[in-house]
Amino acid sequence: MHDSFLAFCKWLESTWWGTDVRSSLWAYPFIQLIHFTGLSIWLGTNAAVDMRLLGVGKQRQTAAQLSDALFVWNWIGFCIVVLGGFLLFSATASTYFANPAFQVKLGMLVPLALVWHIVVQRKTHTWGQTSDTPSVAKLAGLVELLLWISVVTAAVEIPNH
Amino acid sequence: MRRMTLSILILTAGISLFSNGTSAHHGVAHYDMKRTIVLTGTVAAFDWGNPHCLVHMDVMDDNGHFQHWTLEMSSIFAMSKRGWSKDTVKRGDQVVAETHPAQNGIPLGISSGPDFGLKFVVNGKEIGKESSSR
Repeated sequence: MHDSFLAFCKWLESTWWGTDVRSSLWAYPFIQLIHFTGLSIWLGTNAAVDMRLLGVGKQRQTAAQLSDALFVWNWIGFCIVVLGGFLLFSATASTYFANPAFQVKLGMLVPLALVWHIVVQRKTHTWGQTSDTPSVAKLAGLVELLLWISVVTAAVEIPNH
Repeated sequence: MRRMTLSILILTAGISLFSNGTSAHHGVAHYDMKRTIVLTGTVAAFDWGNPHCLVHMDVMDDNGHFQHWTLEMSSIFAMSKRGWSKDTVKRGDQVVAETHPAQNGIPLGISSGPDFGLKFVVNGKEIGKESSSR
């Protein structure tokens, strides 16, 4: 399992996009920009709905209304962040694969946070019908915030390992 | 409402406390940045790529044994600005390089980051200087 994944990493490094990002003067910072732009949209829309679930600004619109309004932007952000991340990963895939901070981020925290996000997003239809959300909704929103913060924390630790 | 605002403020303060420590060093946390050592040896390989270039070199230690060192450099963009190119270093070159060694004692060091570049001499010529400064 480990060997086949490592072989996949080596293959990614040899692709035209992996080679391009690794060897080009401008590609790397530009792809980082794409990754950070995507994550800003993704995390920003997540945080806005989480805050609304927690009761911040509840007079403006309900959490359900806000979640629906931001839905498309949320998943556009996700597509952009994943695209940028995939390209960055492809440049030196095997070194990221061996990096403990990356392993924690992508192997554990991202799947966890993503599943949690999908659950919360669906549940918000029910929870966020009124401007006062139930306690479970507040807790769920807070947990989502903390999960994405931990993802970012793992990400900034990547260069240190 | 006020309690909610307070708890969010505390959360934000907590996050910024945490994130300062990790982002401040920009990837140098496991190197001893206060120590600079000089390595003399032969280049085994040179990786010119992003996110950081690497110089692999064989260094003879005091016991006459070869130690294989890896020197971490910066991105292609940062290295180009300091006068490096993919042909600056190649296998077989004799180099004298300054580096900040890894804290755990393994033969790994950092010689260039986004905001600094230690002295690096290839076959008698210092990189980044107009003429050899010896």
